[in-house]
Amino acid sequence: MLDKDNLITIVSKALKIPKKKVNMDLKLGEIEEWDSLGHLEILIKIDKETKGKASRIKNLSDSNTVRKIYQNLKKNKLIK
Amino acid sequence: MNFDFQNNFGVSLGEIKIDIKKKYKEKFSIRLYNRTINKTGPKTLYHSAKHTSSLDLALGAYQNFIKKNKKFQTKNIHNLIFVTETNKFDFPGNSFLFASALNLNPKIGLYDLNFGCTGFVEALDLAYNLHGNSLIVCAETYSKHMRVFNRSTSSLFSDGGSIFFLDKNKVKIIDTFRFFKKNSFNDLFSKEKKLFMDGKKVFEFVNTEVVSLLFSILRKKKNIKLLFNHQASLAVENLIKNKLSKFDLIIPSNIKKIGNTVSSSIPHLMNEYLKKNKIKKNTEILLCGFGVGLSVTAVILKVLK
Repeated sequence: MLDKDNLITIVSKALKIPKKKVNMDLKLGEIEEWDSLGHLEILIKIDKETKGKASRIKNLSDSNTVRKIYQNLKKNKLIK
Repeated sequence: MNFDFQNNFGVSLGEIKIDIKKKYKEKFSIRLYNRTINKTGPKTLYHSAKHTSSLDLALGAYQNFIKKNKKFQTKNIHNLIFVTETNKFDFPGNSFLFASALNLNPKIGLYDLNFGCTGFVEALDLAYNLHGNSLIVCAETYSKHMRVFNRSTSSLFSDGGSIFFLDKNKVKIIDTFRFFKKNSFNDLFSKEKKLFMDGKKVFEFVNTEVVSLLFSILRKKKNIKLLFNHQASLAVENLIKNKLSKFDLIIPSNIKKIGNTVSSSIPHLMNEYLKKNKIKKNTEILLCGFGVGLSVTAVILKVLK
């Protein structure tokens, strides 16, 4: 199962930015890399890491901060 | 009439080539272009000229169809189904204009379908349930719904047209599957000729509803080895291919080559695939269109001859 640190790694890899630039309050549109394409990349990577289970979460794409993504995954028991 | 399934298609594209890299250089940056192209796919798009309408693209596709079928007689058309969201006039629909332009028998059935990327598949289902053979025409000029070059839609859509002659002696529709997501119309729409698309919502729809529909079909129909999907974007193509990797499937793609031609995308894809590959008699193939609605329609088509 994923944890908070894994999620931050996923976001940093998806956006191709250093891990230290990612925190729980980082949000869609705040940095150039996290635009709609970056958001798509995050969703793809989370889906891959959860072996497709994340795609069953309705409105995961609406989660526009790292924290909201975390909370949504937690609610669906996909992250510690 | 000797009619080969491979020749049932005719296609056309907008006459203006759009170099996406050049546009990004002018409007944004090469760095952004490189990021975008990995998700969208096409480096070149085809837009229609100022005075070219969806009807013109349809007539262009018909010319292409006739080139391949010089002996084709219009008396074999019993129904004409025109799929478009960008009619030449507000009314009448393009079917009347197209039938008049080709001087078709005035007693044939004329149908206009206002459908997007599911349009061709919907038309197949409708055509199969009508009496006689049908000419399915798809044509779209989305470029006229984009006033300025924008990152969300301008690097995806091409204008294009297509023809498919559905001869019931050659093709059979085995089954049709549909789903539409209520109240999702705000995720992909055009109002006052301004196209809007929430890419992440469309992606999510594909990732949930489209993939699960395809999964449920393929689980039951293990004989299906060929899937023609609507060509939405490279990211969506890769997603579907990845999700369906456990099935032994051929999933052709031409998104990189011509972009997303909306309702014409599956006919364009099949036309290209059939140029190089033959489909054997009694082969069952799966066709899946998804998009505006948000909705998805899939049919299983059996090639009889």
